[in-house]
Amino acid sequence: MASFLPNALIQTPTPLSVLLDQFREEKFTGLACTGQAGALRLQAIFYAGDVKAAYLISQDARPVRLDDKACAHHLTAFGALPGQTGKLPAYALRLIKLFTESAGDGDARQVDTADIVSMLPDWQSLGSPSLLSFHWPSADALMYLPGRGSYARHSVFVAGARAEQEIIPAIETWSEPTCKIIRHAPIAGTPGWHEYHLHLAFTAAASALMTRYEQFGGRPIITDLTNQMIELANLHDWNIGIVGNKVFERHLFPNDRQAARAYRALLSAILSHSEAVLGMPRTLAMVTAFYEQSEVLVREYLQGYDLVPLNHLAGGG
Amino acid sequence: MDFKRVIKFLPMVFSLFVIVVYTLIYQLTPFSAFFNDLATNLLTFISAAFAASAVTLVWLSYSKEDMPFAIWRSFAFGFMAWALAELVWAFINMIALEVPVPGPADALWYLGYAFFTHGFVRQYRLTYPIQSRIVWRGAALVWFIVIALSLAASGVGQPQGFSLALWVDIAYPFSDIAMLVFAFGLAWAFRGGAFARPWLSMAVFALSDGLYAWLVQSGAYAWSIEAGNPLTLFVDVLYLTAYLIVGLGFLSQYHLLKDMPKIRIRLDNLE
Repeated sequence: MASFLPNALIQTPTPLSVLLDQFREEKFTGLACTGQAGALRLQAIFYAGDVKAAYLISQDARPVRLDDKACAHHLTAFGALPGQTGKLPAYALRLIKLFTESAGDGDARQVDTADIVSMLPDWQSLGSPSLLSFHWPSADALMYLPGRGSYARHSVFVAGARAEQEIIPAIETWSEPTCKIIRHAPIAGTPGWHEYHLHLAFTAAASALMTRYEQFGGRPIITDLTNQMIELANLHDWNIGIVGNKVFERHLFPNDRQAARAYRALLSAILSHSEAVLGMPRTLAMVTAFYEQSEVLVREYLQGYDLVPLNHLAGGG
Repeated sequence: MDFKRVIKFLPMVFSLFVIVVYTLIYQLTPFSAFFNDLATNLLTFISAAFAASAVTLVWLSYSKEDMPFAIWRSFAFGFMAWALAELVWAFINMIALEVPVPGPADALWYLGYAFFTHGFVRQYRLTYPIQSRIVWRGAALVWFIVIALSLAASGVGQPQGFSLALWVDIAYPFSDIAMLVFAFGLAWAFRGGAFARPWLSMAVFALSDGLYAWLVQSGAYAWSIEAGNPLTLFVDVLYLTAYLIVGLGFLSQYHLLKDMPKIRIRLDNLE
């Protein structure tokens, strides 16, 4: 099984062991694959120079995510081999994790590039989520569609060093006439699945709570909260951005536990600020209203990981 | 010395100073009757202008796109109308001694109530997920009750007949009760949070102003003047203090917008 984004990767003669040192020095964020075609391959996801996830990929079986110990062992074992590397943003790597862990060989079809956008509603309306990978001779794209009419949550389009988050405009202007699309079925419950949905739940909750909070307090209040959240994120080296009331997470956590801890702290910052300004009853009302309006999956992740720690606030229960 | 704390402390010192000076002039009457009246009227106007300035500062801290902007604009206009009413009342009082009721000052005071109601309605709509028309109907009902009760109390349908002047005067304590209910509802909604402070101060203001209006209307004020007891001093100081309290409450909101509390998140508490 090859990488989902072969066009993002560049072949390098440098052995992996040397690349690892370079990556650490450059604080590299991206993907590295090594091994021989047709045999066992190692795919490692790097964030800020550190390996955040590594997989053993074979031709026949599903990829296996390696734990820390196995990861260290295989990085050494594959160290002498040259490989392919590609710089990719965190949102692309999060999708790659989801794809790598969830997908086997999917349902493939060859389509005209010009028809892709008009075909998307068919996948959107399916009752189950879809993971789509798009392959042109010199570009690739990934897209996650939650199904039941929901729009694409995350997507990435790559062509060499170019990576874009909004893939529809990129597809519409892409000049290669035909594309191979593969629909993979995501497998719920894999670590990548949990990390992806935790991320979705966090960004949805943080953005919604900040929007409602701004309605009460206006821009002066939300500017202060934003500054305090950024300060908290910087203190722990979490790459979090806030534009308007939208929270963007550009960080890649190695596992769901660490991600949940960071998300809990950031949501706690919003709720503590709100509690000091609006008081507990209005803060609780804000959270309740968000729960009532949010999707079941988002709600499940918020509750399952205790991301909205109301019991940690002064008056909460 | 923390400069910010000093700045926050100054309005309180100013308010105490105004109350002390007012009380001294009231009790000791150090000047001629004209200048005593001028000084006390001026201090009342200064207190009302202080409240209007504080609420205007809050209003101007927001940008037009902010939802609270329109709310605080209504309260700013309301208190501006009241400060102007104080000035107009003082001017007529100094020139003609007897201030006619209803007069231009009453028009400004009731215009102030209209602005306050508008501000309260918008704040309730923002605070609770209630439809706009329901909030407006609630406010209309409260005002219907205020008008009905004040009409009844001013002798409508009774042999002595209806007096517009009496009605205008009697409607003040009822209107203040309506303001008290509106403000207390919001103070309760934001209980435990800094946003409760301006509404709590508004509730105290409405209570003090209402008490003043009731004491004047009940005849207690006139009786006190004749009896020469300190009730009149209490009533007049209460009226002045109401403005200062609401001004301090609004200033606390302004300081909050400029200098938020620091939040402390400990990760070990979140495991």
